[in-house]
Amino acid sequence: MDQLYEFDREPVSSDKWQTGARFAGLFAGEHVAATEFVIGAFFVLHGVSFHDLLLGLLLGNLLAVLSWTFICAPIATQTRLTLYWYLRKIAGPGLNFIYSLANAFLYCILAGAMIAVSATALGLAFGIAIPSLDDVFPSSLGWVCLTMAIGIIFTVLAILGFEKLSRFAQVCSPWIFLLFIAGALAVLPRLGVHADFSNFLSVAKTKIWNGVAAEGQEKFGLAHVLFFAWFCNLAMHIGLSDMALFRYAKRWIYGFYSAFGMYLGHFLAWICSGIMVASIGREMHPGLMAFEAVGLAGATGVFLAGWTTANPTLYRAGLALQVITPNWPRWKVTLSAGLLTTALSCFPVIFMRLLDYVAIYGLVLMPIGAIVLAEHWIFPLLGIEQYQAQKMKRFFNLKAMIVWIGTLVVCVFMPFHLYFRWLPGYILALISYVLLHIKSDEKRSQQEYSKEIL
Amino acid sequence: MRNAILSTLAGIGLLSCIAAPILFFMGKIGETDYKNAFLVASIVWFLFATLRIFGKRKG
Repeated sequence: MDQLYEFDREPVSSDKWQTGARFAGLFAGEHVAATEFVIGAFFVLHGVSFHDLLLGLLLGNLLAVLSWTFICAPIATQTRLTLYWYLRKIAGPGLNFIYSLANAFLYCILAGAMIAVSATALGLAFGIAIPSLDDVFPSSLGWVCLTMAIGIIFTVLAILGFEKLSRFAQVCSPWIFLLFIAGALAVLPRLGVHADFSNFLSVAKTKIWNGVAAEGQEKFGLAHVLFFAWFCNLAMHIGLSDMALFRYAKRWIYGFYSAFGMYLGHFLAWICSGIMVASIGREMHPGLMAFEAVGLAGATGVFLAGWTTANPTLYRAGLALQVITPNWPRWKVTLSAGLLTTALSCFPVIFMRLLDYVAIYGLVLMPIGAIVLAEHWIFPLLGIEQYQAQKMKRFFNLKAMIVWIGTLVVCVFMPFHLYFRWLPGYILALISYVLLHIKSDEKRSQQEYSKEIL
Repeated sequence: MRNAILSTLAGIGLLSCIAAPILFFMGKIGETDYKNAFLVASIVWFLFATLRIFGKRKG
């Protein structure tokens, strides 16, 4: 990670470009995370049918891979800059500040969800009950103490040895993936699957993804699964956060390596956690789910998955905060991010409503991706001057701010499900940003023409 | 040489992690045996993979 952010204010030099295999490993490791234990299980609770799940995940993940390949990677390999630095050229340091603040806060919530997942595993050892599906606030003192303790430990360890932890995460990553496979395989007999797999399809359709939503849960169909798989990492591909990774790619085509993360993590791991949750009577309890399926190693795996994925998320939150507090040392920034994360992790709503949170996270940052895309690709095509904020030394690109806030306001009032709002919102942001520039360019040309005549 | 040995041992641990649930699913071993085997195989993987990864940087 440190190496990834080595060139934080300058294009990555060609001697630092990485091979495709590196990207395959990076994506495979990053997308088999603690949250996978929750997301796949939630599809079962939301009554997704087997057919809708398979088709939705296949297509949604394909769209995600294509978004990385055709939207994020080309801009990254052309500019060789992080989004933070490229956005500064486009939107000015003022808007970059606000974006970084929003990003840091959203990362902290995500890391908080990972701490909560770890807490479900450790809570088993202390007999601490986990909150129920509709809990917003902490339901017991035990849960608060547990998440606080885990959050503080994760933060201290991140401060003391982030780099060593990152290397330890490399050890954990393939094992955690196997834990998903092993857990799913081991609970199949309990669900009634024969050793020759002959009745697997019928069990999958009737006992796992049977199309019946759990009490109080909304019913999901093909479109929900497809859109969720696509926008699950919206901030990273369409939102362009992963420019930080792809600026090290030799070629933009390396975006296709994201398929290793999508089809191992967001396809196989989600299917496996769905099977595991069905075996414990559809209870949203990742720790118990893994313990029942794999024993002590399973519960340990859930704890480690939370730890090793909260660690880089804390680091990313710290990096975003560093834009706001440039003179702070790394430990101070990580401590701030860690304390905020720890406080947030107590609230079960961030973990029990993880799917909605993921949707909101992508939605909030998506307009920035549209603004950068418009500036990078559409402006040269239409003859609009690029990087006006930088050239005119503007602290704040007001048009970008109007588009960002305006798009979010429109998205709030869109008359359809939260999951489907980002796409029309993205198109709206793209068009409105271009139109605002065309209008202001026309106005400026008219003013210049009037001056010439006078 | 040291890395090759550590990689092989770690690989055996990881393969055993997947072999145990397969054997349980096929009914060849019981649930307790499968869970114990997975735990031991996991310890083997973590021990040798950690030694390999942390040793490599020093060398």
